[in-house]
Amino acid sequence: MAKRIALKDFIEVDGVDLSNLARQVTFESTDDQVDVSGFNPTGSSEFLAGNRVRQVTVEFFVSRGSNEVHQVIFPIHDGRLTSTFRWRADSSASVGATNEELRGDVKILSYSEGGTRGDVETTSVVFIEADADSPLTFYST
Amino acid sequence: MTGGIYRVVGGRCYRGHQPGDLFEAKIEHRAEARAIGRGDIELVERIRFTVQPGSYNLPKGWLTTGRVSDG
Repeated sequence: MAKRIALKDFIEVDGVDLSNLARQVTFESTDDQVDVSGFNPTGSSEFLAGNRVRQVTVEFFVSRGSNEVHQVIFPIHDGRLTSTFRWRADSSASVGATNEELRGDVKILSYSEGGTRGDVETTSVVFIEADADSPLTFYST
Repeated sequence: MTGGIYRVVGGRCYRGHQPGDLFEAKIEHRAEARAIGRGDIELVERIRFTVQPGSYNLPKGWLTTGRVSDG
């Protein structure tokens, strides 16, 4: 498999293609580390995987036009709503085993905006898995 | 879940459909309201999704004999 330069990523929030308003995306799946160690001759520890949290962090250029970042994302946070999220590495190729798509229902638990003189305005948004009906995971179809 | 024929009217793709495209979909009603409110899509026609006659087969013997209760 070829190495990749991230250039063609596809990012969709609540059905709206926000790809060209985003410049960074990071998926993270984390299980709590639960210590279930008992006394033993070597003093070794034993762990089990506990609660799992899945989330995606996307850095967006803040834009306030129709169908753009503020208008799409803030109402979802403001209304404590659940929305859909999709990300795949290559927007020019269809979803498949070598171009899996991360998708699922998400919530946006925090939202921030702000600017610095002379700098491009960006914001990082964390989309956290919302429910078990449509879990945030990778699909090949 | 709400169904309809929609037109993409915003400047961005909506659910993979290009601006100007017509598409048929079932969209959760709050998501539909948000998309219409934002100007992503417009509703062209409301659809009631039903099973069309001839698009299914009933188990053998169904509807050919009257139902008999056990009582």
